[in-house]
Amino acid sequence: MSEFEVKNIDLKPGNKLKIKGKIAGDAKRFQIDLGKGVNDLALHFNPRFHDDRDGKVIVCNSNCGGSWGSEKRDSNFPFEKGHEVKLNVKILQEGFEVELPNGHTVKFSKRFDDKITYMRVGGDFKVTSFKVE
Amino acid sequence: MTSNVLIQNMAFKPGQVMKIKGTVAEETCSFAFNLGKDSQEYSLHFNPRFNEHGDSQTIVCNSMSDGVWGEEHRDSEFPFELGKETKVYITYQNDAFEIKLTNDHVVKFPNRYGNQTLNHLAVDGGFKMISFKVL
Repeated sequence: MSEFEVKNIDLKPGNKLKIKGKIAGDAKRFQIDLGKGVNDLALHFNPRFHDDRDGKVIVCNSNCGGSWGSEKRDSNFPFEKGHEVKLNVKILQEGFEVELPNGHTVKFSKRFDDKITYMRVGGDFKVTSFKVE
Repeated sequence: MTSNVLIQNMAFKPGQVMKIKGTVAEETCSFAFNLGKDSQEYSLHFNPRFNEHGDSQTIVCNSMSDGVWGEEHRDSEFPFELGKETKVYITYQNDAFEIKLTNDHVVKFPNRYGNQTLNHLAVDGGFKMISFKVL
């Protein structure tokens, strides 16, 4: 599946991204990436349906020049295959807050102070709407 | 040079409607939405000109393939204002694009490249995108 990508977007603390889309019926995983480019991600938000260790789990991480940081895992998993879902990503001074459909919030700290100019939604998820507030 | 928003792989197909909302820059000669298969072929170049290339308050539409522009289409409806928020709805039909403006006027531009999935949307000029939606 081709990945939904937005380049040259200027996201600042205070901005909120609203992403709506549909999870594939046979989904294994999907991801929302925010950063400067494919190999410079301040936030990699990655729900997995069949993780080897944890089964259904949200894995967050950062990537600096192609090297992954340490994973942060959250077992709250309000995603279902084949369903439409809304995700809100808040950009804060110190990090990110991803609001899940059940109201739970996944927090992830900013590990380096870079501008956020790139966004990608990949994996088994089809974006239907995208909004910056 | 200011860099502008580029959206890729949004899989825009005939029958669908795209809504683009944003703010026009305080100072700009024009802005444009380039919508196409990729960066080499635009099925729709939608270009409101405040004051550019001898046009004043005119919407110019065109298509482009391998760097070669087609025949321009002009519309004198111009509900855009510098510094103001605006939104357009682009309906992708088999034979044409219908672009609905804030004053409900519809600009019609022929679909010259047939029914293909459009995966490339590049914003150019003085327009800051606030939201993007495929309905």
